[in-house]
Amino acid sequence: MTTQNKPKIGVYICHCGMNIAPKVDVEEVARYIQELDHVTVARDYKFMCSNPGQDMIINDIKELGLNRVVVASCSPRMHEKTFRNAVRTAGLNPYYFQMANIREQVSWVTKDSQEATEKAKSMVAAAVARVFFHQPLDTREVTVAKSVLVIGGGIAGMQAALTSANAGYQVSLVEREPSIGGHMAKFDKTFPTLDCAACIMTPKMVDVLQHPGITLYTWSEVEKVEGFIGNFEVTVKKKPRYVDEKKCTGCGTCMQKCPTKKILSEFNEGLSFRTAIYTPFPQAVPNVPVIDATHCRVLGQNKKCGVCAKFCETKAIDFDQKPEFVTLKIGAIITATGFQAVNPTSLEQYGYGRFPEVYTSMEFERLNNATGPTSGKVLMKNGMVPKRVAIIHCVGSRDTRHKKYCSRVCCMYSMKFAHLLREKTGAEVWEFYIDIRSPGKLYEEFYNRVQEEGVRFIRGRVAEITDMVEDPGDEGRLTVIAESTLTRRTVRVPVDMVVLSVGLEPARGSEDIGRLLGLSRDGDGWFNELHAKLAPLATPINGIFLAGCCQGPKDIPDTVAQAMGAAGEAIALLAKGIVTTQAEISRIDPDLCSGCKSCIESCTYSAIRFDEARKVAVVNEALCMGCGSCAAACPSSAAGVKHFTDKQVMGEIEALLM
Amino acid sequence: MKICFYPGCSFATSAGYKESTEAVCRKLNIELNEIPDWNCCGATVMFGENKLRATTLAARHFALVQTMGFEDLVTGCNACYATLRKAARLLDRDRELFQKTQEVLHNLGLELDRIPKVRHLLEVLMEAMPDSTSDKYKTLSVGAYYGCQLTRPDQELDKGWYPEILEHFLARIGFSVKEHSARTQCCGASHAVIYKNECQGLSHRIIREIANKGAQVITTVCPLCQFNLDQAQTQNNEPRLPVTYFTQLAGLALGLAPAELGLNKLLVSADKVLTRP
Ligand SMILES: Cc1cc2nc3c(=O)[nH]c(=O)nc-3n(C[C@H](O)[C@H](O)[C@H](O)COP(=O)(O)OP(=O)(O)OC[C@H]3O[C@@H](n4cnc5c(N)ncnc54)[C@H](O)[C@@H]3O)c2cc1C
Ligand code: SF4
Ligand code: SF4
Repeated sequence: MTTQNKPKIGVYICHCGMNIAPKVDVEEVARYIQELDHVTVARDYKFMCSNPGQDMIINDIKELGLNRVVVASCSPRMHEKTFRNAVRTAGLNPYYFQMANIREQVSWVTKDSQEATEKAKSMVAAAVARVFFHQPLDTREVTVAKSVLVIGGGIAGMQAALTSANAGYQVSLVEREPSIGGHMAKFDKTFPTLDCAACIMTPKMVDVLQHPGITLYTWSEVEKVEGFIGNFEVTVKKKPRYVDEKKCTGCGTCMQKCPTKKILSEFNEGLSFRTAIYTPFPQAVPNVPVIDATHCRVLGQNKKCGVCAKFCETKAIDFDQKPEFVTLKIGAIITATGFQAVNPTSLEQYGYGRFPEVYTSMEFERLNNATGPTSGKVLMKNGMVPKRVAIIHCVGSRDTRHKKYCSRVCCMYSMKFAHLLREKTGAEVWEFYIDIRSPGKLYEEFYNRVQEEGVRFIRGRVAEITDMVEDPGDEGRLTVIAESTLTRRTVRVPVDMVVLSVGLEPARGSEDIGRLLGLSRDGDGWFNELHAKLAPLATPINGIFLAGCCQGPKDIPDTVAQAMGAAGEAIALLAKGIVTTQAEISRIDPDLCSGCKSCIESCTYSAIRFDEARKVAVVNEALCMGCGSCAAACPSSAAGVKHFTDKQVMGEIEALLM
Repeated sequence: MKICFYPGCSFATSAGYKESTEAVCRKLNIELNEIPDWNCCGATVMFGENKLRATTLAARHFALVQTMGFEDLVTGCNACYATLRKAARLLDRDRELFQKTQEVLHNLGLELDRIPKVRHLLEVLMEAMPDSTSDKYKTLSVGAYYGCQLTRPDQELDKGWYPEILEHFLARIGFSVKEHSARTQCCGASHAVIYKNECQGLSHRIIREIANKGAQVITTVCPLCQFNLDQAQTQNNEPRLPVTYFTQLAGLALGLAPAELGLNKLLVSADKVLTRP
């Protein structure tokens, strides 16, 4: 250990091609750093992350006897791992390493070259001062549970479950609705190939149900998540179905006999009715009804009824069912909670909710669906076929007053609607758009195709939809008023039906799921991936992955690709059988701890317990995430986070201020 | 209740707005304290000319309100309401403009430290009017017309595009209301004076829609709206709907006589609809 007592520091300044070098005078920085105490060598090189760059470090450690390394380059999020590995390869503890970010924090954001060089000097000097105090730390290896939890049973969740289960892992799929399927189960055709959604969806749903590796929890929610990567302990709440899944044969008699028939069907977007005991749609998986307790005469209104129970031949109805809680040991979690369509009521100028012939896109999907309320005939409320239909793009999207982002799928599904309308009804179709966004494979071709089919495109955001009559012939129709920005005129188009292509927003309850799992969400509420480009399926919480629209709006091809990718990540993690836990965790010095328990309250991961015998707080190293809350809360300075000791942090700050 | 009242240029000369407002307020024990020596608010045109002058025209009243010891300022005109609120918003956001305005006012012998809340007379009556206890006007169907400046842009009073407060108010004080889609369409506002022909069409559109939906009378909350809709009907023979002020209907609900409310001043007479059994 004597060699490590006398620090010999090697410092490497990266040019990052043209990213750092021309702005920061890297040679000047190296010259300056070379003169600092304990610095054995300071070099600059074109790409430190390249093989020769890493070899340079390894050789210097071996030949010059370095025992501390600093690399000044990009963000540690990018390459800290790379350089730690290089240090380890040379036989040094990887924590004898520190990184200075002179790209994102210096060259990219500083205008003046001189200023940038000075700033780089002090940041590298700070890293040198810090690494001086570094200590060797150890990571530990823990075995993992070979099981996957998937939250959300839309196409993303189903695919992730199937891929993981096919690889031989035990999967628990939790869906809060009575059936799996998500949004896709409501569609008739899907762009751009116009595949029949049911034909590609229903077999998958059955596969999920029948797969021996998948346990399906529908009408269930995740209640609690504890533990850490490889070793999560998850509590699932099975809401009472009031129907015994084991006894029910799915014959459907109860639904026919139920006298409470006038409940708006959620699955049909309120365009038809369902009974109090119901399956959302005939192909539901599992094909076991649930009783809607609010509307049920027995459960909700304390009335005599029980007709379903009388008619059920297998005696599957059980009005006394209580919520059930199941605890699962889980290795990896895939979040696939999807999206919900924006409710356009607050965009009053479009009259949704006021004018019966203004539909949302999800309503139109049902109107157009062979299993929908009109058996797939596109009809107005008065039973007539519309002669002219307007489709309004970007409703609630790309609008600073609502959602500022583009919802990505609405241009395409709008054109899908246009095609289907032309084909089924021959109606004149007018699309009002801002720009057409069709950047997928075969998407632009689809756009061309609908243009050839005679669909009219008006470039302009619609100002208003009104039932005010300008021309007596338009009595009973709606008028769409917009500025056509190509002809620079106001257009007024009388139509029979309007479809609002509403945007996508995170599913209701995403906030709660985020809180349960410790996931962060972006400004619009979508779950944050670990890195937009390099880790799009991982999250900042180790062992938790994202699939589908819960991460942001996307179409089915992207959703499925992402789901398979997330499953792949989970499999890769579980296949190894062990995970290394991080070394930067809290340490509570028992000699300094006064037993005040402040840290226990401050820890969001419940990682600290109280040792009654010794009257001190003790950290559970497996649970600690190294957030440092306890260190801040501790009044006796007993709690501290390894690799973030006072000496290290203060040393860094002092050097920065010099 | 005492309120600080800013009448604006078109209040006194409009068809019964002044009479009905005063009569209703007397009946409800609301003391109208008119701002002494008030000036034109600058209307919508002034902001396009010069920001400082525009805010000063409005802010002079804010200073006067302060001198009178009031917290709020009440107006019955949508243009005044929108203009004063716009000035208040600008002064609130722009420190420099606020200081410059203070200086100008100071030279006029006025001090401005705080910006009063600008309210519409409609808000005051919504709070003060009692619920109806009579069926007298239950069969009179009214189309409520808000104009385009009351709820936009700041949407403080109600939703911007399809507000409903006036309907709620009218129903509460005993009238039947007809829903329609012209409630926030523009009537032409002051442009009706200069671009008469162009603006006639705008007013007719509103009247036609309200008539189509089955209303017998229109009610407005702004002198310009009332004038435009009323006078547009003197030159055509389409359905003729009397255009009243909401204060006139409030007066009727309180049992006041039509003459006391200036209802005789309307161009399209309301006599027939009001005297129907
Ligand atoms: C009108 C419309 C038409 C479209 N048409 C097409 C098309 O033709 N082609 C195409 O490629 N794409 C289309 N899309 C996009 C497509 O819908 C999505 O890409 C796809 O549905 C995303 O799947 P998902 O599984 O991520 O989300 P979802 O389908 O939303 O599934 C999420 C699932 O998670 C469940 N869930 C949510 N929260 C929880 C929770 N807390 N606990 C348990 N379960 C939960 C939900 O109940 C749901 O079952 C369209 C979208 C819309 C709005
Ligand atoms: S995909 Fe098209 S319709 Fe949807 S928000 Fe983007 S631009 Fe608008
Ligand atoms: S650092 Fe402290 S507060 Fe944070 S997780 Fe670890 S023990 Fe809990």
